[in-house]
Amino acid sequence: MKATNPTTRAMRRYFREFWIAIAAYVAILSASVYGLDHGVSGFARYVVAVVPVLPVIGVFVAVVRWLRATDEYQRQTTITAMAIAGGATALINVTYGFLENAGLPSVSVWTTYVLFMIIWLVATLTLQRTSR
Amino acid sequence: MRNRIKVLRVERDLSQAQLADELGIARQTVIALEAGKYAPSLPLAFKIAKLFARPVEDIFDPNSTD
Repeated sequence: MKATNPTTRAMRRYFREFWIAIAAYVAILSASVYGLDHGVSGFARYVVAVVPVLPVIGVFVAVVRWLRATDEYQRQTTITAMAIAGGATALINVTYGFLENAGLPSVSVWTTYVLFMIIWLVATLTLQRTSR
Repeated sequence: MRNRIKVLRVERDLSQAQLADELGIARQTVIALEAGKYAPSLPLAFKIAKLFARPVEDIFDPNSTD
């Protein structure tokens, strides 16, 4: 059934685009890992390694399209949560960076991404709960 | 911002989901508005006023802000 509420339409479109991008990500990442494990070398190795970022860009575009299509409160909550997540992630990274000077081991840059996503989720849920 | 959205919605026998559809916003936004936790933009406030056929100041209390 076609939804008449623009925010419902936007959410449905977002989930559709998100899951298509995730399916593409799994397929491309599998192919990329296979290529890297089976002798792709030279400059092509960098290309094969970075190709999985394309569906990630797709997810990013889906989020931006949803943000532009949803209502003002949803947009405000999401962007506020993003700002909190960005600030908190930067603070944690800087703090850990200083601790590395004291001898703590270096961590993968993936940690930053995972941290941002977790804090974004927690901040979004917290903001939604506190506005009830 | 305190408002009378919930009272007006119940008077018209509308659910939160129905009101959300009428306004073209998410149900979660209706919940936040009714709780007075979110002050809407002018365009949304006027849309709400038009839907309930009341002046904006009859629905929203300008003397109360969160």
